Amino acid sequence: MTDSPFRVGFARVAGYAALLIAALQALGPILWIVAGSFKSKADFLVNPWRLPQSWLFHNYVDAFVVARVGDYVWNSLTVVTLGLSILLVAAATTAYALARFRFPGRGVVTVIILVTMMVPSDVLTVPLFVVLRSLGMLGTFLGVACLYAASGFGISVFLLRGYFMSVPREVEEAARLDGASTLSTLWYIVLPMTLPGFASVAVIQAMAMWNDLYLSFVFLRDPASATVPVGLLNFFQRDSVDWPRLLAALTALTVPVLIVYAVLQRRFVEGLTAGAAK
Amino acid sequence: MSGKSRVILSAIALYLAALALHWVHVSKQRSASEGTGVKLVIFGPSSWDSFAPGAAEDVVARVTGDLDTRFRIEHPQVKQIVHDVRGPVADGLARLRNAEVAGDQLDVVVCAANPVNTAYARGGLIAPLDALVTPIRQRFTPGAVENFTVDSHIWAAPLSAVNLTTFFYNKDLFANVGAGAPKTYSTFRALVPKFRAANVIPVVHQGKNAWMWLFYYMSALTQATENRQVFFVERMLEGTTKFTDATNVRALQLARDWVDDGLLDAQSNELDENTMKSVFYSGKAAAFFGDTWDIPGITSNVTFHWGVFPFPQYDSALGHPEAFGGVESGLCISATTRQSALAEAYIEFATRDENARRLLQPLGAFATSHTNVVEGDDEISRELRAQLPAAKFLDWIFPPELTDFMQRQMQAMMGQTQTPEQTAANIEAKYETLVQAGYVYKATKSASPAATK
Amino acid sequence: MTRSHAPYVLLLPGMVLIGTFLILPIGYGFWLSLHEFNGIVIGHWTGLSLYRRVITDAGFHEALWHTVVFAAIVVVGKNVFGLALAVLVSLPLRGVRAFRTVLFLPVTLNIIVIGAFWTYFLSASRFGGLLNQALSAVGLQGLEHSWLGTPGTALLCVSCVEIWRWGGLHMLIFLAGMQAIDPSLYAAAKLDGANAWQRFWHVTLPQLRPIIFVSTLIALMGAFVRSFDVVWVLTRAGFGTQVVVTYLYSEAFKFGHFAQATATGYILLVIIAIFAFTYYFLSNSGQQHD
Repeated sequence: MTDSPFRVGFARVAGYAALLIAALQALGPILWIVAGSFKSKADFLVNPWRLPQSWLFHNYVDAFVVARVGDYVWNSLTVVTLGLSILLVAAATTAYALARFRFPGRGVVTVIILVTMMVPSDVLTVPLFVVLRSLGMLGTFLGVACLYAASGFGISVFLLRGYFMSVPREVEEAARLDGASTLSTLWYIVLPMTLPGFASVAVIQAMAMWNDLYLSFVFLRDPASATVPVGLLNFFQRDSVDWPRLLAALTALTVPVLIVYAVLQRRFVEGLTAGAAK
Repeated sequence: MSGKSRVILSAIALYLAALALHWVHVSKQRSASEGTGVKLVIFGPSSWDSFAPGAAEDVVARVTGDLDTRFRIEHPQVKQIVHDVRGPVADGLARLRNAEVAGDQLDVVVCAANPVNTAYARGGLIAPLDALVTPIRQRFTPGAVENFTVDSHIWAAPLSAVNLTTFFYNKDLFANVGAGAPKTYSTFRALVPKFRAANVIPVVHQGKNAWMWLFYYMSALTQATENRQVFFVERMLEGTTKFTDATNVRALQLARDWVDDGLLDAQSNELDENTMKSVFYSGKAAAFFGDTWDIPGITSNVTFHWGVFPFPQYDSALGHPEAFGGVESGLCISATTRQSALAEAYIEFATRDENARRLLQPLGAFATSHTNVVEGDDEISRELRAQLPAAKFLDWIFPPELTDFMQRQMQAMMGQTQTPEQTAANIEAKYETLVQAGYVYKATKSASPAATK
Repeated sequence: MTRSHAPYVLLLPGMVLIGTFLILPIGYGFWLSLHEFNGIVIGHWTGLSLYRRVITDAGFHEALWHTVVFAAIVVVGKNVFGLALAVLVSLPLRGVRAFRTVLFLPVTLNIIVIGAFWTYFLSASRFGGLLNQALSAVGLQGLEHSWLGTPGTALLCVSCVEIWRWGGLHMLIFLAGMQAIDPSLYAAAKLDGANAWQRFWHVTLPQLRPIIFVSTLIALMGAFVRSFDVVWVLTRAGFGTQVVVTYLYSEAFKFGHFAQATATGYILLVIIAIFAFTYYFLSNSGQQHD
């Protein structure tokens, strides 16, 4: 850098300070949750902000044994995996078509996709019932997975299209000249180059599907099929919410999600290209 | 490149294998639970709609299991009885509606009186039960069946404890300021400076749940109309009296006084039911206006001496205070059931005295839906019993859109962001838009006659 | 597959998916909104009269206004916040990568917990509200306020929580976009003597234009269509925070006016479409077509 050492030092301190503040605003609630998960119910209600009077681990045990949170996790994993695979295939192919090909009807397709993003799910409850029932998919994981994929489709297409458009055309032209088909170009050339974008889309959609309450509440009514958010509703019992147990369940659920995210993040979003931002 | 593809492919293969295994596991579970023979489904729209609601989970499971076992002895063709009772209260209506729209098997519905009156009956979610209930009417206490009568039809067989609106108070905190349960509003108001000196909030409320503010309005309206509140409400809904009528504004002002006089915490709108109760349980507040369905929670969470008292009397020129409530829940039959005879048999069975007694016994209620089932002989039960008979909740008479609007208006008024006059004017305006959209008040048979009580 | 057929083959999976699960239901839903419908039984034809009823309803106007204000704050906020975070975690500082996971945390949180935390945080001091307690601790008692209980500040707080919640997501979007920027552009700019801020303004931002477009689109959709959770959990849609989706929910699930709720949904669609297409055309007019 052409700046003076003093300015470099100051900038570095400022940078760390900003990072710290940012981290605090993100971590604050997490610390609250974790601290709360070790308290007893009474302790939590008296003052949710102080440290636990005694550190109780039974909340975690209870969450998995009594509240059977493990079952919900398994169900959620199934649905999210299914939904994600359907979504990524559909969105990647569509986004590639929109990014690289000029064809009649391209504008129409874009508009249609945009429009489908603008309808809230509540409105479609009854029509979706009818559609799923006629397909015989009512109450199945596959049905809900398709709904998840459909609702995340628009955003994913637009994001992927943006990332695909930033791939230099020469590379694709070269592959084409070598005789590669369109699908091969997509799979072997374009996707690896846009892996950060692709991975981030996958992560974002996985989060959305994992946290979705509305669709699974309406369409997965069998208690055995409950996904995590639906299952967490059961913590809200008649007379009181068992906050510490709920927070324990949430902490236990968030940690693996974070680990997966951290790993994916390092591997993919960092990028295999050497470019740092500055 | 190929190495990477192999990794990805094997990961996908692993996922699919795991999914397949899970699918097999789940479908095995499902087919195991379906057997031969008849299956009966008892549906509870929310976790509040179980047998013995409020009792500990294992107690609920035990009494429910006992009942089912005895029922199956009488009806051996029934192989399986499933109880589907889950979810927060606010989502109950949606859950019931979704289940019926989806075509799930639903036979008996455990339903609360409020949604029966405001949503289920007119919404086509349940079927009338006149033929079943009329012959066995003598099982139930007076007023119980009326609570489930809408448009001249009976929609449920009552089976529950009686619930009443009541104040709960911290006896220790009151004793500290040298007071007992206040009988009049002015006595209570006089305690405000003493509570403030002791750094105690006199009264809190779960203001975030707008629907609970109506308790104050109804109680004030009862006294302002000299106990002719139902008659008065009907006149307003018919249009012969306006919502801006002086009596109605007076009732709103009386409710508002609680906040203006410093009795009711001005920021109660920030509290929902859990945070309000935690403020009370931790001794920061001395009292709250709630309902006897709160009692199980209080007994298990409170570490001080507590008691109940009725809504206080405003100055003596007005009517006297009444408690609202009555029989809270019952058994309905789903509109989409394909086994109505069996469902009705279950309902008849559960409401027989000996079975009802077993189901209601864990509640230790001061009064129940059944004349022959009475529990609870402690001081608090006796005090509550003295307040019977209960007055009918007024929000069962208002149309739901108006109730929702009124709740929000009350919320704003008690949050001190608008005056009672403004509140009344807003409600009148909303009523008029409803009338323009076609609302006509239908007098229901369940509306109690005018000047009694 | 020939070249000219390529795009259509590519489009097939996506179109089948949304055709079955979105377009068909949307069409059917529209047909339903032209009848009287309580969720179970379809009544008689009402044509567009339900639409007229919704458009003339004062409650709808109020909800729409709140939604527009909310969307304005949130769209700008999410972009600025997300971009700032993305820049922050791209600084050439040691250990900066760990922060990328940390800053993403709020996105992973369940809405129930977000609601619990922020309602506690913003409540009155005597109810355990940390913000108000902190204000009085530093001597600013005058600023103590019922943040979520007053119309005005309630909507502002809900907007801020929404921005806080999704900042990490937009950070991720921008980060991925920044990774794709050709480093030679930065090298060239440095050679021209540009400092850090100028490089950001003249290289990073223009290269990120398509990403900013998408980010704004996502934020816009989120504010209009998916704002139910955050509003409900913080204020139960009271105190001046009723937005169109909570209004719709009340109509459908509290009052049973399914057809009217559906009509509201389609009116919302038209409104969003107007906003989105305006933005699309404005942004594309300045952009090169590829």
